[in-house]
Amino acid sequence: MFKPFLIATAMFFTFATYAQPQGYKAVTDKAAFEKSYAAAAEKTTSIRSDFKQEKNLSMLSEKINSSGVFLFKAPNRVRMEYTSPYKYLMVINNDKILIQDRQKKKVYSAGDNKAFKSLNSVIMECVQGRILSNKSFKPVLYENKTTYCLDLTPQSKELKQLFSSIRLVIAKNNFSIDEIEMRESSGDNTVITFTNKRINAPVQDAEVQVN
Amino acid sequence: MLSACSGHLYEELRSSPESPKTLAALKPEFTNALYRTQVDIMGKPLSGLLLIKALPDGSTRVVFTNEIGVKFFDFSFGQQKFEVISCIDQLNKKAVINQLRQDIGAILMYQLDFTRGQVYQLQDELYYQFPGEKSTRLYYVTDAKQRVIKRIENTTDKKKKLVVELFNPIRNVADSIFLDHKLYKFSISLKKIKQ
Repeated sequence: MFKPFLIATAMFFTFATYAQPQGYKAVTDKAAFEKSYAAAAEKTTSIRSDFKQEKNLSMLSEKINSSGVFLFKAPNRVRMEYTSPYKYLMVINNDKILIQDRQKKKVYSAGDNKAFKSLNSVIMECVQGRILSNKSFKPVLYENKTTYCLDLTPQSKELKQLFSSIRLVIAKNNFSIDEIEMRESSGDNTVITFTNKRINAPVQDAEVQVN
Repeated sequence: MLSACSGHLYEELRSSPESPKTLAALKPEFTNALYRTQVDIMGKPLSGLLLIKALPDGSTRVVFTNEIGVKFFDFSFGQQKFEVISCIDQLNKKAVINQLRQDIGAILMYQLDFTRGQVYQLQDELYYQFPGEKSTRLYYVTDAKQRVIKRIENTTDKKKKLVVELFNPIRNVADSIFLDHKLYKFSISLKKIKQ
C-alpha cells in the first residue's frame, strides 16, 4: 500500500493535454521561453511563498481546502508544509525526502525508490526552469499579457493513471509558478495557488534540512 | 454461560432482553465528514484524507486522497450494492478492496440487518451480535448507559480479527476512529477535521 503513495506523491508536479486556455494564445518560440525561464531560475536562490490547495471532487460537489507554506533553496531543496486544516510536512533535500505526519517522521532515499527519484527531479525541474526538457511529458505552451500557461501531458501509463493533465501558470515577470492544476480523467482536479511569493527571501538551512 | 455465543472470547456474555433493532438508532449519519487518516500496513506508513459523504440517492461515498490531492480510491456504498468508482492500480486487488469494504462497511453499518441480531450484556456494555462474513461475528459494543457505540469487533470463535474503537460521537458520528487488525499489522487511524 505504501508504493502507490510514493508514486502518487511523485506525480505531484506532473502534467497533460488541454484545450487552449481562454485568453491565451499559443507560444511559437518555445526555445526563447525555455532560455528565459532557465535564466530567471538561475537568479533565484530561494523562494518563500504561501499556498492554498483546493481539491474538487466534481461528482460529489465537494471541495477539500488546505493551505501552507512553500520554501525553495537553491540548488535542490524544497519544503512543502501544510498547516491548515491539518499538519503535513514534506522536505526534499538533494536525493533525500522527509515526510512528517503528526509525530511520525521518516526519511527516504531517492536512490531506494524509482518514484522518489522521479519526485525529486520533477519538483526541482519546475523550480529550476528545466521542466520542458523532461521527456516524460509532452508540453504545450500558451501566453497572455502577464502569464505563461504550460500544459503537460504525461507520457507514461503510470502517470496517465493518476492525471489526465497538469497545467502550470507561470508569472512572466519572474517566471515563478502562480498556480498548478492537476486534472484527473474523472473530472476531479486539484488546484494549488501560490501567493505572497518572496523571491530570494532568506531560507535557513534548518528549514530545508532532512534528518 | 451463553452457549449461543459459542466461543471462548465472549463466554462471559449474558443474554439481554434488549432488541437488536434498537441498534438502528445508533447508526451514524455521515452527512459530510472529513477525516485526517493514517494507515500503518506492515510497518509502512501512509497518510491522507478520507471523505465520507451521504448522497441524495441514499448511497454513501467514501473517497481517500493523499494530502497533495492525489486520489487513491473512491467507493460507493449504494443501497443495492457496493461499487468501486475508481481505484489506483496498486490498490485495485480483490483482497484489498474486500478488506476496505468490510472495514468501512462495519463503521457505516452498511447493509446490516438489524433483525438478525442478538443482544448480550457484560457489566455496563451491551453486545449487539450480527453474522459477519465468512462465518465470523460482528459485535457492536455500546455503553448501556450512554447509548453510544464504543467499539466494533469482528471475530471468529477463537480470535478477534478486527477491533474498531470509536470516540466522542456527535449524532452517532465519531470524532476519532481507530481500526486495528489483530491477525496482521494493519491499522487505520481517523481524526475528524473541521473545514
